[in-house]
Amino acid sequence: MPHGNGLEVVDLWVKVENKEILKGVNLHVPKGELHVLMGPNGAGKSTLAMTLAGHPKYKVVRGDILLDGESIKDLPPEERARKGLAVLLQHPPELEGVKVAELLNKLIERYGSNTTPQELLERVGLSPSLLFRYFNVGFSGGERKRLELARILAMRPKIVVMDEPDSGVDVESLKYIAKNIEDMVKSNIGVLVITHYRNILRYVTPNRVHIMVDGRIVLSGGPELVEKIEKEGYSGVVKVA
Amino acid sequence: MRESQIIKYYAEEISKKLKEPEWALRLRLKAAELYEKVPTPPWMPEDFDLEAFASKVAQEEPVRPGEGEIPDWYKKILERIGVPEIEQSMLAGVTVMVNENVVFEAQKRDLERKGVILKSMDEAVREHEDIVKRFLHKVQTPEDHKLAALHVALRRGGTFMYVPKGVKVPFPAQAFFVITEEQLAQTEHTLIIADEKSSLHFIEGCIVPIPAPFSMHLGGSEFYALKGSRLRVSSLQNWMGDVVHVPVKGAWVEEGARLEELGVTMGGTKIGMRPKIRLVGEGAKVSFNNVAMLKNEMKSWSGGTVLMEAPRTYANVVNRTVMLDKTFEEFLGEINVKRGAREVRGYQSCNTLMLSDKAVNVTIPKLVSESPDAELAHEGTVGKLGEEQIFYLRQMGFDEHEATQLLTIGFIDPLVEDLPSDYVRAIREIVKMTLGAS
Repeated sequence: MPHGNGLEVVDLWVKVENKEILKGVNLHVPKGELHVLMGPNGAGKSTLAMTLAGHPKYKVVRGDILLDGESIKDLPPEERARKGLAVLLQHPPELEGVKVAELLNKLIERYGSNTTPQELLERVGLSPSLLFRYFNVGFSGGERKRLELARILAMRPKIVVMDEPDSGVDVESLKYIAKNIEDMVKSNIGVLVITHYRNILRYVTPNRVHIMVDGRIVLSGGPELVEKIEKEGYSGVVKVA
Repeated sequence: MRESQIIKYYAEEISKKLKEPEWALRLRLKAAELYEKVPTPPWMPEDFDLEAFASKVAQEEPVRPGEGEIPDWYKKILERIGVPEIEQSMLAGVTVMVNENVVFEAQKRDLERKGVILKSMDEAVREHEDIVKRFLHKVQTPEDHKLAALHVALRRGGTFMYVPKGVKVPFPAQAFFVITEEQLAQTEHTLIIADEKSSLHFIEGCIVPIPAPFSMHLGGSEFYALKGSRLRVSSLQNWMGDVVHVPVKGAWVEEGARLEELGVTMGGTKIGMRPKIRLVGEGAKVSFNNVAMLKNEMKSWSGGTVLMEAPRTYANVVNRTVMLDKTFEEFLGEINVKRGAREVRGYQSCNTLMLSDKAVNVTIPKLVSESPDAELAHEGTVGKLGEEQIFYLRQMGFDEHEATQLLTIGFIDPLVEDLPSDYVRAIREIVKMTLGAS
């Protein structure tokens, strides 16, 4: 595994409310590649996303998380973000009273992005009328995911982790999300997409596919793994492994 | 000497100084008499020295903000907040009449031609007896409690504004021509009348912190929205220092009229304010919003009473308070539906954001109805900021303090965002400063 390149998860053990969920995850997402993490419900996929984001409830018991070779395991969430790790949350909360334009502007300012809130919304296909709405308040599933994407674009990340960007969204949203994933990979961002329903895989082709079962990655392979799972289900594939 | 006699003595002195007509003096004397009979409000200062207070009000000329040099630390605060232009001239300590501003002179003349009156309250009592007599102390009455009676007896200074029938004032009134120093009087009275089918937005007070030239502010206000009119009043208060802020307020809304009242309270050490709003005509509407930010050891008695006296009236009361440090708040919100007021709807909600584990909040909803088909509801929440919201902002790169600022401003913003943008910006900066260094 080459060092100093993208996101590396090394033998990661994580407890949530004293329950062990991740049991030795190893994963490497280099910059400029798209990786997909799949697995049955309860495998620990979202736990990995929240742990990477630095949620205080997710305690790392063992192992390490490296961003460009530097450990970020003990950093607070804001510093991970500032170093270039952005996580698209599966269920982003509503921010009553905080307007879309205002928050996007703050992110643009913080990360020195050369863009405007309006342009960010255009890139994810959202109407500029949403600029004056409160963040996520009253947004549909698809709108929420797209707004997540817009604010991640404002953060100019090196690595993007997306937790189920394709759950509860319409086809149009899905296409916008896929298009932006492709663009990000092209501009040398490393992207890890966590998906349960695999809808997104009809629109993008990953470099690598990883399968997680019971807190471990049990199998990694090329895009052909997706088709195999479609046919045989997780149990079939994992048995083979 | 009896308390009422003490008050009478000074009330007469004030009345004489202001060269008031007989009827105005009678209002004062009646209030002085009532002082001993009416209840004591919970926010009455414990060591209240009636004689000292009354004599100060009577003797002093209207108070002016300190003339001369503004201290550097104070300038820094003002710079940071970005003082609304109108307030700058006032703070410079100059006795500016903002109406001298040439830009707005044309508009002002235009309004004068249409019969809009804007005067100091003391002048209006002498010069516009016909209007003032009909309204003064009709909805802010001395019967409510001791401080209400005291205000009526010792009233001095303040602003009078009358908008004639059908006249629409197209810009917020304070921004152009309020005689500002009058607003710094200790017992000033604001009387605003929007006559039938007129419209007005009046901004009273000041959002930038003002060093108070006294220890108790017992101002009063009355807002009258006559038939079919639309009246908006935004009251801003940010006294600096050890000030007890206990204004007495009342409002009157007639048939088909709409009153939108907003109160923003940021300063003082003790605040007692429960306005009385009467919806007296069919279809009268009120929306009454209050925002407060309490810090250090501030104590606040907030809320109000809405009296729904006519059919198909509508009231919406929203109170949002941010509590820091060792603060105390008691919100008492009453909606009271009178017999015969059919098909009314009244809602109130009280949301408290506690940013300290040493603050205490008490919320008391009171819904009273003598009408069987009234629809009344109260909603209340008390809590801290959501952990998930804080985390969400942190993983975007904001630290915990910035996240707290953003969410606290977000808690207040929906109630103040319709103010002129200068004021919105100033309020946000004050919130940030109150939350501490960023």
